[in-house]
Amino acid sequence: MDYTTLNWVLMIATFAVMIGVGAMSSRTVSESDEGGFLLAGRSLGPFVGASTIVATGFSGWGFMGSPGVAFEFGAIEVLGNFFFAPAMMIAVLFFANSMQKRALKMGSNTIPEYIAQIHGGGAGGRLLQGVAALITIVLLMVFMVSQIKAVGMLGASWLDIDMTTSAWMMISIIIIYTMWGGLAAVAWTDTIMVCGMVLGALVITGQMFFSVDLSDWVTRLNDINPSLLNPETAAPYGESKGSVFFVLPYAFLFAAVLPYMAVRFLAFRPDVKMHRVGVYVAVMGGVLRLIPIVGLYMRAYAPALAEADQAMPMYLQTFMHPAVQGIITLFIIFAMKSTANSMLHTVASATSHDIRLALFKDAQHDSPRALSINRLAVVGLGLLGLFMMMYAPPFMLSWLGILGSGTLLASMIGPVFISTFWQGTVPGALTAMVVGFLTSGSLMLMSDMGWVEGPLIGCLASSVCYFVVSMATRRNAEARRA
Amino acid sequence: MNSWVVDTFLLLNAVMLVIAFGTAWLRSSREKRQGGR
Repeated sequence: MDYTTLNWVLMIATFAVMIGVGAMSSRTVSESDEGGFLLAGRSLGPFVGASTIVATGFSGWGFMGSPGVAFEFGAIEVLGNFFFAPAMMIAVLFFANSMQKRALKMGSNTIPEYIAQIHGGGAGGRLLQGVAALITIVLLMVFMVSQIKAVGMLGASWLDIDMTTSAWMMISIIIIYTMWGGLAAVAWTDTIMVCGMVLGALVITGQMFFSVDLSDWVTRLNDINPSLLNPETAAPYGESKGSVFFVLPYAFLFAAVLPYMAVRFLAFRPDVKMHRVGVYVAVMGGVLRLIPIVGLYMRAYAPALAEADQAMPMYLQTFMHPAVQGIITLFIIFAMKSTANSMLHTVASATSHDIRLALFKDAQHDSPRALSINRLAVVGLGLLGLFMMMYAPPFMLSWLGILGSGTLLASMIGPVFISTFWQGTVPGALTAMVVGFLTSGSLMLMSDMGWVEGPLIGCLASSVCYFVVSMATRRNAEARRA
Repeated sequence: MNSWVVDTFLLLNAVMLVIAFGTAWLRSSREKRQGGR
């Protein structure tokens, strides 16, 4: 039987569902209220909200990259990757509510706008909004390009077509439903996609644990290398065993601070109970974080791999029926698309809403043309991402890719996270963003520090600057206000 | 399982679920008490 035909049927069916969801979500979007497009009209319930948080935070890396790292370094990757699940749950249970209430009171529609308003608005606020939007656009664009590339490559082998055509198809669908329904469409499609991802994780975990004897699995791994299950270091996370635990604060800040994650807290219906969201996040996140175990399974039962990165593709090829293999590949494409659509929506909002309000003093907040501008930004930036994937110099993409979301996190910790509990000043927030960006960026580019430690040191430097500069300039700010 | 990584992984999974369901139970029973007054 030709399973490529089945894959095409699956793809066309899911594309039709997603466009349908986009059309239905467009009801939350109205011409004169930007919150409809940017924040789904603050309408997300507990399950949809939890689903979009988990789906966005779980990129293609979880399915493809992480099992490869587990194959090479052992169980330490399973533990390191797992920390994202409790971190998201902690962010939802103990931070989301405070942020949501403040944003609702101020009427913030995006994270850069939240930063501007929490620091008093005015000209200083507009400056902060512009800088935060610019950093967000630069650092997220490259991340989005890498997701488009990954989904394009996987789609090409899945559908037996060339990579450019595959990337065009995948990004076009994302552009259509995001443009049509804004964040509501992104959140609802994420919900459908995360259900598929969780189902895929359950099928994979079930196959692994029911097909072998656990003690045989452990014996085989110990025979290959005892440090696969009992490592002396936390490599690739760091030299000391404790280094792996740094992933927890990193992942917490990832969920609470990054604009494409934190904006979801603003989009919840005001009466939603965050403890219900926390339960969904913990359960779905916990199931998805079992996937890297595939690396340990492959190491024990299929040791001849040319490259560790082949762990998941070879696992599917060796241990799954071709039809199931096709369906799980669709779920992996879902993981990539659910991250890419959130990034597209965030960079488009930063361009059409934040940069517009920062540049033009008299720009209207909910102008009648705002919806068209927001939709145009989605199309423009989606196509820009595709062209960057095809034509941008590889050194530029890899250079920006190294900075990644860790540097964005270090830039935003003071103005987004600390400001929710302790309000600093505009110069404090500006200094924190610049220092966080430079510290994390230089550590990532010029030292051999890992992707966890560099951004965390950047976060520390940024937080200290936010506090010290805000204290030093507070009197001036108060005098000016008086 | 005689592996500190796997033992920590299992322990933390259990802790995460206890915190999630425990917080939900505590907060909802507090809300019910407040609603009943």
